[in-house]
Amino acid sequence: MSAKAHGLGGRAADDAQIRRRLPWWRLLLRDRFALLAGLWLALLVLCVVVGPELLGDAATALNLRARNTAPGSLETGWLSVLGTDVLGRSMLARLVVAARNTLLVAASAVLIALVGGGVLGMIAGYAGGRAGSLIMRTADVLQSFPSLLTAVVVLYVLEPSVANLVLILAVTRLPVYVRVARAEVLEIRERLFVQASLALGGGRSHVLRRHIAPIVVPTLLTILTVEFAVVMLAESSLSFLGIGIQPPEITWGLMVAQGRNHLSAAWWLSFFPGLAIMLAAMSANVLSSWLRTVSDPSQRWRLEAPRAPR
Amino acid sequence: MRTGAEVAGAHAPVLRVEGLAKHFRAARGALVRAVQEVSFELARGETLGVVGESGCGKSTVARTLMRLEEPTAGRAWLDGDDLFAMGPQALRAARRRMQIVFQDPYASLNPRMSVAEIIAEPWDIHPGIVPRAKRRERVSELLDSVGLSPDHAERYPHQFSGGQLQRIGVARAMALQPEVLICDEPVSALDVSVQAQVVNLLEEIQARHSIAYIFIAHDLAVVRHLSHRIAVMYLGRIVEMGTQQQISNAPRHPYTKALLSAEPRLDFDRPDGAGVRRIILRGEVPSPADPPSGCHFRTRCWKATERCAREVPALRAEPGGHQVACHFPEADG
Amino acid sequence: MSTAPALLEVRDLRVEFHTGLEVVHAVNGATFSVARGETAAVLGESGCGKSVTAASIMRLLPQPPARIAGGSIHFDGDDVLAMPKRRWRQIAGRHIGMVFQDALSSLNPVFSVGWQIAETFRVHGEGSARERRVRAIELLDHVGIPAAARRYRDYPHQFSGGMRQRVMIAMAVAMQPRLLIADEPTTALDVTIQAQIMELLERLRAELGMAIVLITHDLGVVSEAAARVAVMYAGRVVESGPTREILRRPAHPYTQALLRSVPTGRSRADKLRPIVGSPPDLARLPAGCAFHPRCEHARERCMQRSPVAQACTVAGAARTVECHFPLEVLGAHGG
Repeated sequence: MSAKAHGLGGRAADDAQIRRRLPWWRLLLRDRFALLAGLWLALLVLCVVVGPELLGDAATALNLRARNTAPGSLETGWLSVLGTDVLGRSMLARLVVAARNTLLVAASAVLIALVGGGVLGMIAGYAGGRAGSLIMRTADVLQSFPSLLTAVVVLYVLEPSVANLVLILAVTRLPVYVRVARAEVLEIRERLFVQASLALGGGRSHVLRRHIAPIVVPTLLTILTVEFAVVMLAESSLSFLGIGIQPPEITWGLMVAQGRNHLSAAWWLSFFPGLAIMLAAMSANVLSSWLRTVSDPSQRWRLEAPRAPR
Repeated sequence: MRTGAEVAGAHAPVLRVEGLAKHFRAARGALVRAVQEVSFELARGETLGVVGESGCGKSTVARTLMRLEEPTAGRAWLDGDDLFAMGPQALRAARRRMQIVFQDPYASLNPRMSVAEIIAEPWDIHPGIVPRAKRRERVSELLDSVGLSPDHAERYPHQFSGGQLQRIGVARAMALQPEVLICDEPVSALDVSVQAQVVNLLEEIQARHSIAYIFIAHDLAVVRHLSHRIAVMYLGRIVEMGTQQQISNAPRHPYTKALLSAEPRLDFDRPDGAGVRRIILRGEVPSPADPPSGCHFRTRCWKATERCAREVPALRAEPGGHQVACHFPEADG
Repeated sequence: MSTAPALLEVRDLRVEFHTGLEVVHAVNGATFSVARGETAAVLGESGCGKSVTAASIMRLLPQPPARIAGGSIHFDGDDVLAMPKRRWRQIAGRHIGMVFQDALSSLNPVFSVGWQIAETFRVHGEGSARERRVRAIELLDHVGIPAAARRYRDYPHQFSGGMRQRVMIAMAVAMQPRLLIADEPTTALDVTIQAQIMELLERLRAELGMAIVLITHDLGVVSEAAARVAVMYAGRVVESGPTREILRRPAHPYTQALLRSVPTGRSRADKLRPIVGSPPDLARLPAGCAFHPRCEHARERCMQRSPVAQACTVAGAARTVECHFPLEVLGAHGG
């Protein structure tokens, strides 16, 4: 049955509406902020992967003659361009090496929180009932304790190992994901296309997989990028209290904490690690925002549209 | 044109509903009797139009038959199989034989899925009907059968108009080749000229596949155009049911009469001043949580008596198959 | 033909929307007029520009991204677009009432309906608080809300759809305006309630002597309620004149096609004749006549030149059509 028989022509008009679907890397090239964010994060990933191997020695080499050098001078070599710390070690090298611990701890913590919280939240939202109530009340309890205090207590009682640190950070951040996931699921569950899927015979797991998860996950990922910075700072506070990462292991947070006492004399000790945390969090934020737009078919046009003529 | 009776012929009805009821518990414990004692039969290849205003329960009937809601009471048989007694496995299989098209074309399709994914979803849910290798081809066939080009398969819902989206919805429902298609206000959200496209499409699909439709709408003109038989609902009950001609030309229930006369007409050939006397009903539709005693329509009926407040009128059949639920049905003509 | 000057005159109105990506030509030269005390309808489907036209009359369009690119609007002789916004608001507030489609989103949900009506009086400096309250109750009663005194205190969500619409109508006619603009007032309502509301509007029109501009896509409503109709397509008024004549003998292909696509409910045998294709993208209008891709009478000239409005007389009644071949269209319409 041809379209003409129905009197349903007008396809030329339809085609005019459809713009070419651009590949993702073209879209990334168009959005300069997202591109910068992506490049910065790629650089950080590079630091995580090869940093300690390349600059490990420079980060630990003591050079007491060159301690507390201000940034900007190259007299002691290019590694001191960001200054040196109280023991003469290169700031730049230490930053690069610390990236690994910082990012791995933060990334692990937020990912565990996202997966755990997301799954629990979706169960609570979709199944409801007693399981749902149990999950929500547990989340309530977790959230009502000040997370830092909980972390301090737990880490004091247990050993402050990296694994414990990651775990406690993840657990204290879990409730946020649970709540958001549950709220989203409750709303999406009522949408007509979910009803349509049920009408077609779709079971619970099918609906969760095909319809609910693809909408909930991007929202959780957005929260993840904000949580990233929160976790890095939380880890920094714990390290400052001495129950986080233990020296000689190093993270940006610990560097901030260590430099706290020297703010007036050697401001760069805290400044650059703090800046590193901020840039990492911001890049993650910008890139995730771009990712959200790209992955949503109805929003993608914002990036695909030709730029207005000057 | 064949009448509903001719279409039904000697075959058993494809769908039979008896005493269907659906009650909801609203806030503060009020009981909303959305559907009460609804019974009807649907013959193969026939269109039963269900018409009524807000709160009459017609959409609830649709959702309950699809078991998107569980019925409070009543039974239904799809080709002899007891719909409400089925377990999850049997129900899933039954869904292949009875499908639904929803009112809002924008909301009934997942905006993140491509058209091909949307139409193929039923085959993911019911594996074995169409092997993966053949799916692309079947999607193209289905798109063509609803008047869309096969190269629309890779596009996304936001790139289409309402009428096109509704056609995609029909294609999806047809993917399982059901025997019964419930159309829940399928054209209400569309522009007038686009409604015609979808209505024609539905007619043509019915002619080709002999599908039975339950066509739910509040627009009487469209219902009368498409249906072999019509059921008029008011506050959860069927107040009148008959063939299209019976309902259009000789309505017996006062509400049906009022509904017919309330419809704005494109009648410009009659001289000014003359014409059908307009019945304008007073008052609003009562709340389904607190319906009037006896006949629910009595608060707006010009004929209501004391008996109407006491006794609920039963749906009585007359010779010719015309059914009315009224103590004082209108005389013919 | 009425010799009195029209109450509302819209001439060659052009409205554009600049979205940053493209320019949407929402209204492309709409011309129509409304005489005192008459009901005129603006008929068209979604995207034809009828609501934008209404918003332009009331100057409710945010000026970026919208832009009134041309034409004029005159209300009772005053040039609406030229006067300062503040002054127009005073005039419009007093002499023009507006009723929208969805009362629930047009009424303020946190104030009682009685208060909102009394507020209309207060803004125009009418009477004392008590007098305003009394008048508000009277008005509620007048539009058919039972137990008005008690319902004065109720909130919009406590009313049914039809009742809410009556409340909105009460607010709109509170100052006894000369013109009432009703944008799809009955679209969201049930058929029997629709009949009630149309009856109410007609009663108020007769009592107050006000003109009504009825914006709708419903041919039935137009046929029953409007003395004159302006049919809009792709931002232009393609045909305008007396309702009965236009609906009986349409001279524009779009009007004709629209009439043919509507079920009259008579019988299954008459197949509906939908209009081929879909409405044009208002950012990419075709050259020549906007309707030509879908018109069964289209010719060479239609693709090249946009038709201008011509006056013509059909069966003794004057009307305006924007088509190159209206007489041919008239001949083709089979009753």
